[in-house]
Amino acid sequence: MDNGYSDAPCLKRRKLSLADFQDLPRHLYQHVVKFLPQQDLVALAQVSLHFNPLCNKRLYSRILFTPRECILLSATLVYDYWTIARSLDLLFPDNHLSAFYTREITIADGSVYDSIIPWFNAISFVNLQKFVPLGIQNPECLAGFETKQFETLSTVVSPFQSTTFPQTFKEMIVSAHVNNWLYDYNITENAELDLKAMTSNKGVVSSLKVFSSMKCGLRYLDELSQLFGKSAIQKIDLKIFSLSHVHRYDNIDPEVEPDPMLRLEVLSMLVTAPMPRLEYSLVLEFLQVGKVQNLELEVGCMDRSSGCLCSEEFLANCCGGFRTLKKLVLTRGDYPILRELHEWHDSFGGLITANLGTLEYLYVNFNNIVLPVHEMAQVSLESIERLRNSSLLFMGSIMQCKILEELVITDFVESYLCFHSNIKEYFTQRAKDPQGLIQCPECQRVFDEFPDKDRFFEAILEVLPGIQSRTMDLGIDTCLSKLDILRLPYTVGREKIDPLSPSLGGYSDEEETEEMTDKMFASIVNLIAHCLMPTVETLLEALPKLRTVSLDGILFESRNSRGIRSMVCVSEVYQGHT
Amino acid sequence: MSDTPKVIIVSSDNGKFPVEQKVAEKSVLIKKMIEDLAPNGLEEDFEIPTPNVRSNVLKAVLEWCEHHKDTEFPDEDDDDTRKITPVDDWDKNFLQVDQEMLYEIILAANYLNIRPLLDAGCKVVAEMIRGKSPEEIRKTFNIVNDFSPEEEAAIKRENEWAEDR
Repeated sequence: MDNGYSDAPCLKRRKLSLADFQDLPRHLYQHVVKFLPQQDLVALAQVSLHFNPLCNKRLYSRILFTPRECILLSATLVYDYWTIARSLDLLFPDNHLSAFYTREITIADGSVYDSIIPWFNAISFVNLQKFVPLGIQNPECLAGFETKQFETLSTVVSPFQSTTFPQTFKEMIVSAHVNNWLYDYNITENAELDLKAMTSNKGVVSSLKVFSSMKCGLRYLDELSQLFGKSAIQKIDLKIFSLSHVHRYDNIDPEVEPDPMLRLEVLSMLVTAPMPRLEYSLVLEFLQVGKVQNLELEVGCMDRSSGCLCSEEFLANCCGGFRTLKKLVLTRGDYPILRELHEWHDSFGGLITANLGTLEYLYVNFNNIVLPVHEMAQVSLESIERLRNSSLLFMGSIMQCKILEELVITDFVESYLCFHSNIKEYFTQRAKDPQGLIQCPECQRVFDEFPDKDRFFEAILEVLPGIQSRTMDLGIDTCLSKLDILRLPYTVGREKIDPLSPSLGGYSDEEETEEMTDKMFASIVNLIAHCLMPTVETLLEALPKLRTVSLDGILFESRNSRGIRSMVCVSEVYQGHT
Repeated sequence: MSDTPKVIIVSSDNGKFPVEQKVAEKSVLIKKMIEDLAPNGLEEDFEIPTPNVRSNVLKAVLEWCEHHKDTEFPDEDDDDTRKITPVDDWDKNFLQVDQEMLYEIILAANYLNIRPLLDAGCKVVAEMIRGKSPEEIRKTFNIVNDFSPEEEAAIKRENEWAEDR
């Protein structure tokens, strides 16, 4: 019978006639499931053994506890991102649950904390990567939440915590207001913080997160410094959102004066849609940035797509005061379009060049420069060349940081790649000759050993974001020696919880990566590391004190053998492969 | 007859469908094949086999490509926009076919890498699931309930927390 199969040898044969929905390939179900709201996912999960794990994977990947009114307020924000749970008792029923598979839990209902703690003590949270305790929306909630409870929670969750998990009770209290913004609360009304609620543990604060308008921010800083003592505040995490479309801050509190006693160890700033220069100048003056040696700075503009250059203006006009930085964490918080990349680069890079003589630690997260193809066609080759060259990735400036010891660039390769028509070009610079034959023996070996050669370059693109993501959101306190964190992205646990619940077998909300094996992953890391080596060696040559470099999550360390310095890749995956 | 070279797409059962390059290039797969194999542009008719797609399905897919040859679709990477964009009326009408044909169009769109058609097809399937009970979904898609009674009860209990009540 002619079933319509092709004899083409390179393509998988597939039954061409489909009678059942269940005959679709798995990844197409996943695509269908993406378009289903929560309630329909619950229903489809109950249809058959075939659909159950597929739906549960999405249902359990990100869970949000929230009261109904919050959902109504921010329906557009929560839809399709979280599975909303309103009843804690139902999520953790009093049966034989011993482990729970989820990647992210967000709690937006302060009233559940009392009841959640026993569950956090009793259940293993497998694969939990992010725990965001919001829910402390007003001072009344704080009163009922004791430090001890938080400490219990913290201990239980700590093995899985991400950087979003607050380190201290105090920090959680304050940072709750940062997170509230995500839920569409009106900033001016809800960002008010009752500082008196914090006085009971006065004096133990070493890290504070303040989220507020410029005006409130200044007032908080002033009040905080009075409450805790100026010397106690070693780190200020100042989140400056100014939603210019929502409201404006026209008045700076005139009573707040710069305090010469304030000695910040770390200043962390998140700046989106910066406000007029005067306001920033006042804040930076208050913080006495000339004395700040450690800066974490994320700048990005929400209006970038409309051509706004306020980020560049902020950096150019307001950051001149930073002149003695030892540690600098730079994160780009938006996606500049190509025609603005020069400005962005110059202004961001200016902060590095202003501190060339003092920088010992530099972390840059380009946040994956986005370069749409249609824009690429609009610029001259010369322009691309300039960006592509060392200046693009600040390499020219970095080479001049003569006392730099540690360098982290989270997305070096991918940012570089955005100026290339395809990934092959980058990796074939050293790997292939113009006829497309691999010349470099090391690349040849990796390519030869790679099981699915047709997928080789695609696989590199798959792996890059995964390995980078593990170095995203690192701060000044990151210990680089612990940065060997390369793992096959999105690995999940395999154990079953309950024989009656075969669906709870471990979830990842990302696309399936089942075809990527550990061996393939190691091969790719090996190749990327190999291709990065000339860059790393050039850095070592230029920077006599350089000890550690992490590019795209791959860790290199300098070694000294008989007076000759060299860089070696120390990532475990790399070592394992070779 | 125009002298512009055509792209001739050949189905699994050897049906040949000559179309404008612009129409054929709604398929990212075909577009890339043309870029790779004819980097200087088409100088003559260019035949591309699609051994996974039958004639009747290919014909339908090309009808969609022809209709949308000038349509600008949301950025493929913009997952959120793609999710909330409703299926347009023409597509809804176009996809009013029996389930078997619908699945084959989805498979073809997936194979040929025509993301907007794939999205539209999957959204139509999702619409067929929406608002239905588990039993109704089984009936709609002819699915056998393979849970034991104990499993069914456990599964129901397991996800009660997520019920939208």
